[in-house]
Amino acid sequence: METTPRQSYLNSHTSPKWTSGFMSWFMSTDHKRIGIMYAVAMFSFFFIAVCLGFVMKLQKMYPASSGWEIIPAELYGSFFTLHAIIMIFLFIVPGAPAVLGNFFLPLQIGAKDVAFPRVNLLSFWLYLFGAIMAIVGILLGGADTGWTFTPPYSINTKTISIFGVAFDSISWMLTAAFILGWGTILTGINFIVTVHRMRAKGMGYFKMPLFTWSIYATSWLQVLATPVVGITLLMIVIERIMPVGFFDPSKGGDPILFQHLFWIYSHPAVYIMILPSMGLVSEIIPTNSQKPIFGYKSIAIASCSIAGVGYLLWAHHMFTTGMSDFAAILFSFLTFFVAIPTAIKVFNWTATLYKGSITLTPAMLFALAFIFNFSIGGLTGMFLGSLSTDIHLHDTDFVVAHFHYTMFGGAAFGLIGGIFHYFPKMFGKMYSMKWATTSFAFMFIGFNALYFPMLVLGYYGMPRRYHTYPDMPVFNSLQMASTIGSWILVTGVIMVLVVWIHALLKGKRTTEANPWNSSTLEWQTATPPTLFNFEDDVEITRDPYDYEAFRGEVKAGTSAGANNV
Amino acid sequence: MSDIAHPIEHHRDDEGTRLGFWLFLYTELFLFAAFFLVYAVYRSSHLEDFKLAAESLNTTIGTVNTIILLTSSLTMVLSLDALKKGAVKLAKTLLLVTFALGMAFLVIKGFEWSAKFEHHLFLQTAKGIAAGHGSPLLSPGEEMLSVGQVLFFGLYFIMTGTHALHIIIGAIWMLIVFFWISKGSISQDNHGVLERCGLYWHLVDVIWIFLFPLYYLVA
Amino acid sequence: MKTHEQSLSPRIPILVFGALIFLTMATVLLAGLDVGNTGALLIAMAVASVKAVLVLYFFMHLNHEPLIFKLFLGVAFFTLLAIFVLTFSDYSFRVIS
Repeated sequence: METTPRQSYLNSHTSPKWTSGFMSWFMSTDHKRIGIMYAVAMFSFFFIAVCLGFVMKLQKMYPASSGWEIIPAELYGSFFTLHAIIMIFLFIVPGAPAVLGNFFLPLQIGAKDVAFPRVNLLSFWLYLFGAIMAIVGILLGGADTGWTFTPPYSINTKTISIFGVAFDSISWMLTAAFILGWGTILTGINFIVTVHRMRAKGMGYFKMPLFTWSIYATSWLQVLATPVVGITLLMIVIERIMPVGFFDPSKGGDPILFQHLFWIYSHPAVYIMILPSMGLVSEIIPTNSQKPIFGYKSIAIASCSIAGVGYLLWAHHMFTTGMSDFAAILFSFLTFFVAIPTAIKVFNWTATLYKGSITLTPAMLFALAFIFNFSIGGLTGMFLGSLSTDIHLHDTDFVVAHFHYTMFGGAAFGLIGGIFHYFPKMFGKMYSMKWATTSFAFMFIGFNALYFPMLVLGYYGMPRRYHTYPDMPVFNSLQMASTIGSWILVTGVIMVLVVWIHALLKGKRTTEANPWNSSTLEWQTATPPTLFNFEDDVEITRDPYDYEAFRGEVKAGTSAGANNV
Repeated sequence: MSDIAHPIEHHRDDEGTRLGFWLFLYTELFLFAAFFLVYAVYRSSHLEDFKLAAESLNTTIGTVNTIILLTSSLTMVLSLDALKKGAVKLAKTLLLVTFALGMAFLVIKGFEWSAKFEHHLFLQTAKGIAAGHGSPLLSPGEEMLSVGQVLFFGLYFIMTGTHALHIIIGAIWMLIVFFWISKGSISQDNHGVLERCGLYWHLVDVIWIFLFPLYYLVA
Repeated sequence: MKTHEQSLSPRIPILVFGALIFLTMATVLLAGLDVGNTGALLIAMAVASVKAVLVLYFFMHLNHEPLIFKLFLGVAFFTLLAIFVLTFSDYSFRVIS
């Protein structure tokens, strides 16, 4: 591919009616534009939630006895509820699928869009509507049940009064979550059909890139898990309005049943959150090692295994609720199984590095950090999956650190790395490598400084969701370290966002198709891609990570490679 | 920089659209599955109460409704087959029959719900508990429902109510399809929308196939 | 685009309908049998499952669809099975003192 056409998706439109301004984006069915719109919305919400977290950490800088109080206990309750709701429902769950999945799934398989482009736009509108509804609910206040909405509190907690009007903030938030859920479901359906029906000629299932595999596995979880929690949350709304007895013990309901239904989604949800980022790592590592990924097939199958096995583990969130001992043992046993495909992936990524020609691009740094952070996250999960240790660690900061290591240090680092990886292709602009690397350093150091102490704090008994703690040397020092870590981390987050925004506004323009010399198909489009992605008909004749064949193609001029390789 | 509009020519993929629609149907199935799970759990721990409560449901009416819905599934699939053969008028007629049967189902359900006695008892018991009285707001001569019975009726109304909502959605969809067939935008060569409407309707039927024995044949 | 010939005669749908009505009657009659609670539930669910499969296969044309449609059904079915079985690993084994 020698000539890069001037027309790209950034100045071509899917609808003859909307060809400029806001509406040309808001009404666009182009998967690339939809991905970008998700990114803008998501990172805005992410930043709000980061600020909430910053204040929460600041609150815990000194023990209660010192008289230090930034926010009182009730407000702290709202803060962690909202921090979690935003991070989970508005950021990480849509996350990589909504941004990079939307943008790159069709590109990776050689398609011109997803299977149902209009449904794709509808998904985005549902996301935006639900998100705005959630934010409004947050601002109006009153939701302090924790993001888990556990009954009976979530059923009986008072409606609040706003300017004299009764406002049921819990039902409001639950309805917002229900609407958000439908966006996720429709995206999942879209991606599954896209993978099955729109692959390019010659691309059998085991010639698909690994990010595509991870999106596919994720989509199944989105389709089959989300409806369960959707209706369960509606059941809470129904119980708040009507005197049925679903989960209210005073009417004979079992609150633990709610937890079962809630976690039937919310445990697979964590695999929705992590699998796409794992897929991104599977792209970044071979690219920056310039060699095939180790064990391609086992990673593809492991992605599906994680999704499948991950569906069977939910009650490990409920060990201390009073469910039967038999169930506890069974779920603990099953929980250990999901570590196997996960470990296979970690091993394969590491093995890919061996004898590779390593380039430490910002994307690569985030991907390597993913492996480090996620390993800690996964290993700490073992302590939680094990019944006896879980009794001690449940509802402590150990749990909070565990899921931040996996969700933030894993999923979010992976997403950020993915964006650094794909940024030039998406926008035709290049960011400052120096500042990107610096932002990584702040994020990595800050992240570990913030969360590692929490592992120890939890071990020493520091409960989660508490706004302060008693005056003890081990608590004092670790909380202080954690708070300072949060400052470094937030600095890093701000730097990342500034690097991106600066690059979008003032970054060096590039039309280089394949700056990282990657072997997968999406790099063979123009930079930025044209509206329909591929100018010529695509036919696949080799494996996606066959770097030897790829180098041959670059030499022969049939594939675009990096200009400086 | 000149902006150009390139509307995507929608390459029609009927099989892909059907595949996606089946996935959507599974999401609906899983919505109901959560209800069924709640039912199953409470039935297993309150079986005698469930049986007692179920006695007040009329098995004959339930059976009639089941037959109505099964018949409507038949007329729906016949309607689709007629359209595939090009028999447009027949397809439309059968579609209307399906719609009418769906309406009949709803009317009968409405009568069932308004059969006041159990409905009243359930609401009053539950309201009483909810208001913190402990004792229900009953009139003299009325007996309080037990916990298991309250659970049964709560589930009954919500589950059949949600099912009825889906019947209404399906019925409205049928009317839209009827109109589009008349217009010609749904035709022998382009019958996907009718097909999907039919699939939706059949799923609603399948849900009822399971609801029926679990509520009406428990006693 | 039809990939294979589907018979559009009403014969099969009407036969299936007949079977469904028969099974409905059967399940009503069988409910009166004295087979114990679990037995009654199993019979009712078995009959309902057969009816559901008839609707899925014949009315919803699953019999004419490519294998992938049936694989999807399998995934959905086994997931549901897992949910029910694992939830009851709690409820069936609670020790009520």
